[in-house]
Amino acid sequence: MSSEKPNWNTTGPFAEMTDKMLKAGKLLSTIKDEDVDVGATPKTLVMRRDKVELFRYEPLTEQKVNTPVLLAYGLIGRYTMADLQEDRSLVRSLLSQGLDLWLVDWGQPNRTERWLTIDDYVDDYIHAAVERVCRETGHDRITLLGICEGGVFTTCYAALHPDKVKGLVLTITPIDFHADRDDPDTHHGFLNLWTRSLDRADIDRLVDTYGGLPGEFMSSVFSLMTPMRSLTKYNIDLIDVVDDEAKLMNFLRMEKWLADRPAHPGEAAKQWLKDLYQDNKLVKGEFELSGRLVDLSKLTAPVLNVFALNDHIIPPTCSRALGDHVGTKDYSEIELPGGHVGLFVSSKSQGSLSKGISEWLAARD
Amino acid sequence: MAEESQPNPFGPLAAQWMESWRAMAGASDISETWSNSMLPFIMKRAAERGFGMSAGNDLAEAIERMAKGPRLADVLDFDRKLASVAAAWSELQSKLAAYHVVASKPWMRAAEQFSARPPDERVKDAGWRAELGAWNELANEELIANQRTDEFLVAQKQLLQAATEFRARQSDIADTISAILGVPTQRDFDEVTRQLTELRRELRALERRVGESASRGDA
Repeated sequence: MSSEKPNWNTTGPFAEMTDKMLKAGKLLSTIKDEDVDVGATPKTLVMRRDKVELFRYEPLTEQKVNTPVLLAYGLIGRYTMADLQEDRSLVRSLLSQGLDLWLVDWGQPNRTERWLTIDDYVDDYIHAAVERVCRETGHDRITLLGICEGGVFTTCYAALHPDKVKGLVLTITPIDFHADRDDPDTHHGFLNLWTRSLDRADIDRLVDTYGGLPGEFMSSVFSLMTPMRSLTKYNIDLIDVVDDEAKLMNFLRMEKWLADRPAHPGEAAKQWLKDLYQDNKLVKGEFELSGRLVDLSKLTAPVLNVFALNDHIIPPTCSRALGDHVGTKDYSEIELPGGHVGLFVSSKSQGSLSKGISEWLAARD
Repeated sequence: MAEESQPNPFGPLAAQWMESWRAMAGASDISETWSNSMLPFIMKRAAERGFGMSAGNDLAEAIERMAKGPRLADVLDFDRKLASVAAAWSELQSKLAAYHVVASKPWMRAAEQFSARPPDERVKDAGWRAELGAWNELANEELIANQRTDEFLVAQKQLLQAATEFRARQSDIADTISAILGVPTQRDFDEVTRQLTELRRELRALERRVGESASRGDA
């Protein structure tokens, strides 16, 4: 038998960990769901169309940019990532810069939304929201701010309805879905690789069986991309932050956002995975919505393309590709350090992201 | 008034066949063969028609069936579907095991590399957190590299296919129970939502045309 024995004393690493775990358990039992508020920046419901809602954010300061900005998130996850908490909120930062900010929220799609297509999201929901914002504010055209899949939706909208779009701001948006092959970082682009490995019939069968792309399933695919981070989250990481109330609340808000992952509407999921991820139709000019091809050269409004250099979900090469396809000469890029989610929630990127967007908008107002 | 149904002499025989099939299914993967064969389908069809021994009073029998609910034909069909779920479950377990074999390889590689590191590289003196950090970094690299291999991608695809198939067959059972109880099935719900979605599209397209027409001042 070994003469070395584990240190079970009241001091030492083991005792310290045990103490922290007990403390974590006690603390978590006192925190209520409503204490962990995400997406809390005040806003007013202006329009409801099926499960989709259009909100207008309450101003936080005097308006400095006249053109309204409509924020559109994707259908994988929810917009609350852009408004996670007061000091880590793109929404609040933009409002503080004097923007008139609107939000289109897709709600909680489930099997009822099985038959909705990207055509519906672009040509019906976004179009209806844009028309309503125009009507409420007296503008003919507005600025669209798309995040991730929402960036693809707003890109398609801007190409199909150029008369309604004054400017297009994209963040972490995939455009060339095969450009992950140009990214040498092996931590990037697993989602692209994984989707291409599936048979088309697998995608159809999955969506038809579940009536959509289950949010839980997509969460597990995302977890695969950062395997050890996923394994240490609820032990090491949680224990590390339990002494610091602010950090613990950050952790819990992030968890709440991660858990709030509705199913991706079925037919739209088939288009997303097969037409875009597998066939890369958007950059080929073959992506069709409501009977019309989306031609990126019809993107004549000024475009600002923001991406994260360490984005493991949307490789920066997939976003950067837009520059080769747009019709406008007023095309700008902002590269920021950080990852897919970190771009929105890390304290480091908060200022640079919102400042970059608001300055770009103000110069074109 | 419908005549009272007479006991069907072929009912017990069919039940005996079923028992034989069930016994065989336990010993091999014959349940899959059973599920995929046309025999259960034909038996169900034959049972619905009394194995050709009925008096031809179909309407009365149909009405009686609707009132009574499940009967031999339904039980046969349900049994076939249960066998089908069992086969899908077996396939899922097999693909899960194959996946675990592939997914475990990077852990073994990481462990070998970590234990082979010289002591100074293992940052042992820096404490268990530093050592854990070094292990995490190494394991993370191995896991990510493994996920990009064809072997992993094929294993996870086959697992996904098997899991989806199992779920589809479960849904088939749920639909069968719903149909027996007279409750709308998942397929019914999907059909209703499809019609609703299409109707909404047509309505909104019409609204737009009317709005555009009005704004042009058409008569």
